[in-house]
Amino acid sequence: MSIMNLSFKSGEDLFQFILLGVLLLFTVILFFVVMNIFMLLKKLSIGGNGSTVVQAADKGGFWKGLTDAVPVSKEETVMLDHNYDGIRELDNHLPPWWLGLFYGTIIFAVYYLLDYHVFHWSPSQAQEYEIAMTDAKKEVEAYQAKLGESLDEKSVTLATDPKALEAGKTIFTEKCAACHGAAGEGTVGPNLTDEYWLHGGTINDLFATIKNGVPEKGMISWKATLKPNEIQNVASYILGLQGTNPANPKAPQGVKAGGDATAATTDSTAAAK
Amino acid sequence: MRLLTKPLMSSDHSESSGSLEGFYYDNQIVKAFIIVTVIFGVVGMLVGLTAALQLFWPAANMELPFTTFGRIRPLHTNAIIFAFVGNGMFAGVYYSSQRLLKTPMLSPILSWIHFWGWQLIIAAAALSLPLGMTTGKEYAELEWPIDIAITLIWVVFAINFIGAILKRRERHMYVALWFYISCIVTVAMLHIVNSLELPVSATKSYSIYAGVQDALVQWWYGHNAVAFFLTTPILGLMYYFLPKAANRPVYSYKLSIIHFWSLIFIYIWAGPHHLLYTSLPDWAQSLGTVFSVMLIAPSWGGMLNGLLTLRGAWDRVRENPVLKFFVVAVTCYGMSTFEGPMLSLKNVNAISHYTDWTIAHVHIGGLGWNGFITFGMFYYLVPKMWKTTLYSEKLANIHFWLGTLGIIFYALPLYWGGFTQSLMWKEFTPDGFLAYPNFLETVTQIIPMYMSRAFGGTLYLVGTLIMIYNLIKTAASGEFQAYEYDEAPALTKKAVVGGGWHAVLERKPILFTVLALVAVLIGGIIEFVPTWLVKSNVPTIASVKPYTPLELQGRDIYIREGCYNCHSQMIRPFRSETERYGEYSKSGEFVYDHPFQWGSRRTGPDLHRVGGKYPDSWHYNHMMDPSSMSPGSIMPSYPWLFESDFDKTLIPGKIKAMKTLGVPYEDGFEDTAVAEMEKQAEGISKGLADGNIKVDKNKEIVALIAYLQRLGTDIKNEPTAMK
Repeated sequence: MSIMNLSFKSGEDLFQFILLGVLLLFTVILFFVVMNIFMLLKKLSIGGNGSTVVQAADKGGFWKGLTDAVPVSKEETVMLDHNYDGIRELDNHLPPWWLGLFYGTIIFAVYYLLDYHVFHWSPSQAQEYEIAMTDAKKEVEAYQAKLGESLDEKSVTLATDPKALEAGKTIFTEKCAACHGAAGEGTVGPNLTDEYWLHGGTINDLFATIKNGVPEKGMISWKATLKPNEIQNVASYILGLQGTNPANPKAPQGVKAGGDATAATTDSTAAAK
Repeated sequence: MRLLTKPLMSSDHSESSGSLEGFYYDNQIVKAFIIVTVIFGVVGMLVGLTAALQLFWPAANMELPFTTFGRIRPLHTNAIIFAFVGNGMFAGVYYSSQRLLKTPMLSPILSWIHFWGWQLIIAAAALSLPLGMTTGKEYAELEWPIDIAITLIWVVFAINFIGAILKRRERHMYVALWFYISCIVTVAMLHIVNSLELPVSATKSYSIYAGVQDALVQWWYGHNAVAFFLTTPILGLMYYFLPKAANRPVYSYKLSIIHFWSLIFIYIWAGPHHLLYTSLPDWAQSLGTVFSVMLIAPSWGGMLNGLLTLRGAWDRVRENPVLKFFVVAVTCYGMSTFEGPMLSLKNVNAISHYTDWTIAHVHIGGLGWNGFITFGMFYYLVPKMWKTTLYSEKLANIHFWLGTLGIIFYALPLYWGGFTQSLMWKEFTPDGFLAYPNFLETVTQIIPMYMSRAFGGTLYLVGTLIMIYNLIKTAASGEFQAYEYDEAPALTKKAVVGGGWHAVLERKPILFTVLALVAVLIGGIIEFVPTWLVKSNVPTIASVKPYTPLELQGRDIYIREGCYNCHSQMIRPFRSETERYGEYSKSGEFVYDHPFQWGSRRTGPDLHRVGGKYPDSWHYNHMMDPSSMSPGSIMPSYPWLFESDFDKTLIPGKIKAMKTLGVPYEDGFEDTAVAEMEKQAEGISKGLADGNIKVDKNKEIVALIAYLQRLGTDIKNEPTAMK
């Protein structure tokens, strides 16, 4: 994935992207300005002495208007009698644009505080969160309505398409093998290749277990990580592991598929003596 | 405004009536500070480079606890701030103050106590941080005995400096000195207030503040360490060395006055911008935002006064390496002080916070502003103090371009990387899922950026080495002037009148210092007092209980290993964060956290609600080898946690200390704490044994697992807090 594939879903996203662009541009421009100054100076100094530069700096009405500065050639008129180890000081005016910026930020500050804390025009951060969650819920519902019925533990069916099972295998290797073993033989988590199940062995049960997890036993919830069709794929792949008899199997735990509860111990804690 | 700053055209500089006195400036102390600056600069940069390498090549920690990211990142920041910039700043302050005041410092003995004391503090930091002795508060990691030493040495510096002001032969204080004064008083205040901690042993203490209060104090300190250690004294250096090197008058005295006072008054308020969208009360966050925005103009006042002083000297900028470094330094200062306020806006901060954007931002300031001012200053000072000319202008130019390119190669990729990662964290699919649910995906995406940043850092370091060679050659070609003779008329007692109101202040150093202190006290007081006293700012949550002794010990291991350098414990109220991590963090959850561990960068995922998310065995395997649970992870392994036993001897003392700080453990709990601890450890090791993991119940990993499994879980027992 590259940043170029990111889609802008709202104007705000776009605004933020532009803002970053401006900041980056600003960085680049500043370095170019510095380099440019050096180049310019090279040209100016062909004249050979500093006075050319001084004259050049005195020109330019735009710059002067912006800074309200006394030109270098007349600076003696604003020279203070300060002399600190040879450092003199001029008494130029505050640059008008700078002063304007300062006043502007102060006005912004007052407005901001009034907005958030007196008139409450803008939402507090807790309200902002509520709004975002409500909006998101609506968006997702609208999307699902458009898509038709959604895939969940009630509607799920066993996938048989080899592509789906292959995808399921990839997910299994990435996410499940760490606890259930590369072949489903069970390590931290239970063995998935025997016919005993702690939380049910139908495709619907597996879907629910993967989706919601069993936090008290260490099985985490995957609903934020795996999409419904991905859960379907991996659950179908796991059911395909039945009876594969991998090496180093973990002892059976839970209830035998079909309801025969007598054959195995009932719980993982009981299983380990 | 114009009235206030009535230019002083009166006669105060020519009123000399005292007899001419001769005296010597002490260059030896300056030389000593220059030498340690370059040494610690190289060390600090090398440590930084090691840390940068580990971000794409975790094995660069050599599998040792002492060189692992969580411990050397604080070493890098402390070395650069206090050893490199600090020593460089002292060199410049000692050189310029003597000349601006027309007197040597108060006492050479104090100068040398300051020098050696500071170096010993640095040595203590260089030893204690890799050993894992840390308070767990960013840029204030040093433990309490070192904190006390810092305070004492700082007082020595202050006496030496203010003493010199009092015996000066210059009636008025120049603007550089104003900035030095603000640095001295404010750093003392920040350091003392933020370092208030309760010791439990010679190498371990707990912050007296907890949770939200601790976060507020810490970032008031952290932000203003940048302001008053890395900015105001450096502005002072700029005001001395830039006009000296350019041989031009300072552009505007009026601008100096306005931007000085507004800068120090406003800066102190801005700390909460590090805590936007956290559990800090909204009003405090807003103060942080608005004062940050109001900082643009005062900061740019310094940049303008620097750049406009160069009017009429631009021809010399082309040839003079000193001025070249200064121009880029001041430009970088302007850049980062524009960016800072932008990052303080809520909607920008929502993207930038916890990403490398912040890291890029501080390095524009660190490498560009602090580094380049220091380099420029040294290129000016060494030829002067050794009465010679620079050995090679060409090498200085090479250094200049390597440094500039280094900054670009460092910062641009991190801007890009930070922004990319943040957007990936936030992206949802149309059906309502996180587009990148696996945090690691967002990390591996930006690894090329980490490589480029390490390359940029290397360029910068090579440039620094070239400078050192150049300076040594320069010194060898000249003769060191240990003492420099000067003379000036003594100040007379006679009352001086006239000048603007500020000129009056400039000849009353004590009043000036007091006013500067008042200016920096106001913001802190207004932000702290309500947060401490008004109960509604931190609503209590009944189900939040103190840590068990084992969890407390595990927390201390978490702090020791510097986990907070890569993991936050603060879930912001964003859909993308509650979806990924769980319910957003509430202020009431942190009331027993001495110190808080909210963190500032998510190199790895947030951990505030990691408790109960994975089984113990997952944590066990993950800490042993992170890539076993998350293939491709850049987190280092922590094998030493599986070898050492956790400490039990300090636990009664720790419980007692926590009780002193207000954590409601039952009476006499300290006596049963060890037994309690062993019981809980036994339970965890038994549980692990069920998963075929054999672990001695006394190992540190057990305590750490206990802490991790507790994190963020208390709120789940609260019926009202969870919807």
